[in-house]
Amino acid sequence: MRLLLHDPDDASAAWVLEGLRARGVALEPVGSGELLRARTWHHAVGTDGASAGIVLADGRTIDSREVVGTLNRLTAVPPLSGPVAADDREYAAQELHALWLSWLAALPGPVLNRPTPYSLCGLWLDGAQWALRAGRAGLPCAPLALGDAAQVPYPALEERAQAPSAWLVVACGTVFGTPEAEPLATGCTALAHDVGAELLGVGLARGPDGDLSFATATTLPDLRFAGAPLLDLLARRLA
Amino acid sequence: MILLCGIPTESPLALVGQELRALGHPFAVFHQRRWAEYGLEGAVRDGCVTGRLRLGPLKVTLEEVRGVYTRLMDDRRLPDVEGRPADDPWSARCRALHAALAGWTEVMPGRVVNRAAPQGSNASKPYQAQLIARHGLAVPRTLVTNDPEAVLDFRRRHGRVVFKSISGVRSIVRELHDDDLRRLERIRWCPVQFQERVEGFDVRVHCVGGEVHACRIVSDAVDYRYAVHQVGSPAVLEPYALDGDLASRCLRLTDALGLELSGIDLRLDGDGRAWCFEVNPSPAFSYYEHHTGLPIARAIAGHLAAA
Repeated sequence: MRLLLHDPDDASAAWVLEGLRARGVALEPVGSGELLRARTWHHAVGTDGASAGIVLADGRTIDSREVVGTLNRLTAVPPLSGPVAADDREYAAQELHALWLSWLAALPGPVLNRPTPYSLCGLWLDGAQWALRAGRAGLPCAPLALGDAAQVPYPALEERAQAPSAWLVVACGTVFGTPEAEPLATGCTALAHDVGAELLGVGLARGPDGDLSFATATTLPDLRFAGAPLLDLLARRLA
Repeated sequence: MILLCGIPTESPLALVGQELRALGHPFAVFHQRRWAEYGLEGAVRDGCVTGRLRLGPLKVTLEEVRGVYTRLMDDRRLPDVEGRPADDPWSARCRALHAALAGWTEVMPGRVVNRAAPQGSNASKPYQAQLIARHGLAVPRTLVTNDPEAVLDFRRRHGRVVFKSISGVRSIVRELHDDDLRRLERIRWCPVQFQERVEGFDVRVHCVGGEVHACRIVSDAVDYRYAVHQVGSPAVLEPYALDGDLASRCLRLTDALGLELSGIDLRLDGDGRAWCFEVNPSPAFSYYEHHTGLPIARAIAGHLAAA
């Protein structure tokens, strides 16, 4: 079984599902809402390892021992409603996040991306941390203000990250995207390696001189930017 | 320069400050209750962080800070902020300052006890248990489920079973008794973590800067932190000498989790095997130091001063 885990309305997930099906690789799509409404969860952890069995409301089962690969685009537990009392929803959401994190961490085979405690689909950093890591990875990056004051000497990264001029997708060490960003490919690959992400989107901003520099990054990239070559790579990685 | 962040009268922070004073090492305090007098202005450029932290009349250059010990409370719970809406300008300013401080401590090149990212493993007990097991310590057999039948089966197989929260939300560990089975149906709406009960005695291990400080806890309570409530008498704590191999494994685990300071909860069974329940990345070590005299604060201060 190969899983495609996704949040609602994830156009990239739908695109990958179709693209891989056309390449003969069947993914089992499972939405965050379906995980939330699952009939039963059994997650066992011990010194000799961890496993999990899930029975979804529609009767489908996910046995972690049968999973051979996962494209993981879950970001968070969806808002709770229904039988959980309003006062208990924040607590219940934290409990479910803790369970999903542990379950994802225990999945065998390639998991793109592996979860981290603060985000289910990989490392989730603020602007300063991305800028620092991008700089250390050798990517050109305009200075970023770090502070609480309204008057700052540099525009906040968030402002530049609003509408990057171009996106690159790093997938399993290969960079996909606009040819003019080719000189930044090595830095982008180094950044993905540094944050432990098999899939990383890197947003680039164009400076006044026309050069591209780092603007933002995400472990939940829009994969459609990378086109058919990425689907070929995912088909090989998850096959 | 060392920076201590939190409420200075809070025991762990107070003890570390006391030890830094004894070492004659300069330090500044980000007194959380005085946040309104503070500011932080800096920049990230070419992979480096520069700027300054204003603490009332004191100005600290960020590049001078070599070590940070942080015990920050949730800034939304500060007395002058709690109850105000998030978009209230006062609340927003407090949040912005704390976000900037947190952002800086994550990226500053010195020693931070502890950074937020590695503390995250504690947000999920079964996730952390997987990491613990991967690094050479035994963990009790655990079942996280929303299926009452599975819980009954787990109990049949393991005999005595305890239950606790899955996440880092503090919960009292309780044994699953027959009386509890009547409300077992409630887990259908929110899974619960069940664990085989390991018989033995508790050992709390604090690791910092290559040092290991362990104490044995003598109590009949399931959760010794609540011993008075559970068994009517407080737990007794005494220094405990870990064997060299176990001490090394605790140090390696702390390092592997990316922590500078850890509070590791162990139970040693009748065969001398160590079972690890949890690694606390922000341990309130003062409780153990007060009861045993273990020099944990001195070790933390020394570790910061050596940065």
